[in-house]
This record gives sequence, structure tokens and C-alpha cells, in this order.
Amino acid sequence: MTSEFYAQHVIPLQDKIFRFSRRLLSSEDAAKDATQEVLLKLWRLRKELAGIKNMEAYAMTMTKNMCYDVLKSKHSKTLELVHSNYAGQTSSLSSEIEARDEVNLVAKFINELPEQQRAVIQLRDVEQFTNKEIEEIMDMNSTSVRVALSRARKKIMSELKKTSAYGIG
Amino acid sequence: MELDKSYVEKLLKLYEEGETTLEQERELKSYFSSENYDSEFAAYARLFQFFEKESTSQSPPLQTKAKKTRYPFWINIAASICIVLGGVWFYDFYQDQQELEQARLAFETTQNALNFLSINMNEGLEKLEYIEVFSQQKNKLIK
Repeated sequence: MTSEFYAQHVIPLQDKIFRFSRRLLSSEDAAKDATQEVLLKLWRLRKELAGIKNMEAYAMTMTKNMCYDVLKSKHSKTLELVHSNYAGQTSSLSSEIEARDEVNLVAKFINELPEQQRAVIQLRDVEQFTNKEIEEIMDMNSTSVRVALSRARKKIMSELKKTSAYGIG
Repeated sequence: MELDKSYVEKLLKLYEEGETTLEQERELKSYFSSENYDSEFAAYARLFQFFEKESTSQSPPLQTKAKKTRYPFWINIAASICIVLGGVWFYDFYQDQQELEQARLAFETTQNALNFLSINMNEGLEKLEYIEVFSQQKNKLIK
């Protein structure tokens, strides 16, 4: 019974959990580990899951906490997380090559945002959570969610407009 | 989907302020996923196309590998101590073995030398027997 519930309500969230942790951790491998951890944790809690109203938001909250823990422990070990393709490089050649890949470019701008804005824009614009759910997941109030979202969107758009003004891509 | 340009403009403005509803954002997404968006909005198109693409990207299969066992930090030290002790012991053992071998060799050489000596001695003794016979004969004659 409980494992059925798990298969129906938790397993379909795997992609969302993975995408969210990839956005927060900026690394495929770290995201894979985090996803695994979150699914495992949910499996252990499977008996209590039926009582949860919003399974998606619950899973996302768990993912966020997991990722923040990972980030914290990385920082305390003074290890820089490796950004998947663009570890803060400044070389004009590689950024030019990157610019040709439009998707990478947007991803790059998103990953340059502060952690919280990154999380909020991912939850809203990719996963389409309501602001209410985002408040719950991120433990923020409605104003700060809107402000974070607006700042993130404006920042990304100004970067994108800058690159198209240079005639790249 | 055909949307009025000024309407899109208004939506985009709201979007940047974080004031759009999910419904309006979906409208924008589908507007930009078609190819006939106004070229003025090209930069926005990129963004929305990215969101579209990202939202369909899938998690790679996860291995159901057992959790990585984390060894306590002292296990490394213990292992190195074992290796060093093992090395020292083996060196000792090897030295002992070497000494024994040398002793055996020395013993054999000495034995050979002594054998050789005794053979020569025996040859010499055989010669001495003649003297014995000679002295017996001499005693018979002289008395």
C-alpha cells in the first residue's frame, strides 16, 4: 500500500527533484547524488507521506534543504563547486564559443544569480509552482518571492539583451 | 499562436516585475515556442525557449548503488602503519634468511676444506706405514 503510494506520487517527481538540485548545485553529478538522497529519504518516510497535502512542494522543500546542506559542507571544506561548463572563466574565446550555444548562455546567466534567486526562478519559470508554493518551499514571504523573481528575471534579461546588442548569436 | 504585439509587450513588462500569473506565463511560453514571434522580442524568446527545454529535461537513471561507505579517518593511518610494520618485519626476516644462507655456505666451504685436508693427511699416513715396516725390520736385525 505505502510502496504503491510512493511509486505513484514520489517517483514521478524524480525529474523535478533532479532539475532543481542541478540548478542549485550547478553540477550533474552532485545533483544525481542529491536526487538519490532525497528519494531515499522519502522512501524511509513513505508511511507518513499519505498525510502530506502537497507532495510536490514537500519534495522540493526537502531537495532545497538537502542542496543547501551540500553547499554548506562544500563551503566549509573550502571546496569550490565546479560549475558544469563554465567555472567562472573569463577567457574571451571560450565565452564566445559558449555564446553560440544559446541554451548554455541562458543557463550561464541563471547560474550566476545568487542562490535564492536561482531557486525561485527555477521553481517558478521551469517547474511552474505558484507563488504560494514557492513561499512554502523557500520559507520566504510573498513580497520577497516576488522581488527575488523580478530581480532574477531583470538581471537575466539585461544580460541577454547585452549579448544580442553585441550581435552574438 | 497570434498575440497582439502590444499585449505581449505588456505581459513581458509584468513578467519582469514578477506580476504575471502562471496562466499569463504559459501564454508567453506558447507564444515564443512558435516560430512567428516578433523579432524585437528575440532575447525573450531565448529565455522562454530555455525554460521550455529545461522543463522537459530528464533525470539520468540513478544507480541503486549502496551508499558509499565512509571509512573513519584513522583507517588510512592504520593501513600505513601495517604496511610499514610489514615491511620492517619482512626486511628482518630476509636479513635472517640471508645470514643463515651465508653461515651454511661458510660451513660447507670449511667442511670441504677439512675433507680435502683429511684426504691428504690419509695419503701421508699411508706413506708412513713404510717407515713402520722399516723400523720393525730394523729391530729384528739389530735387537
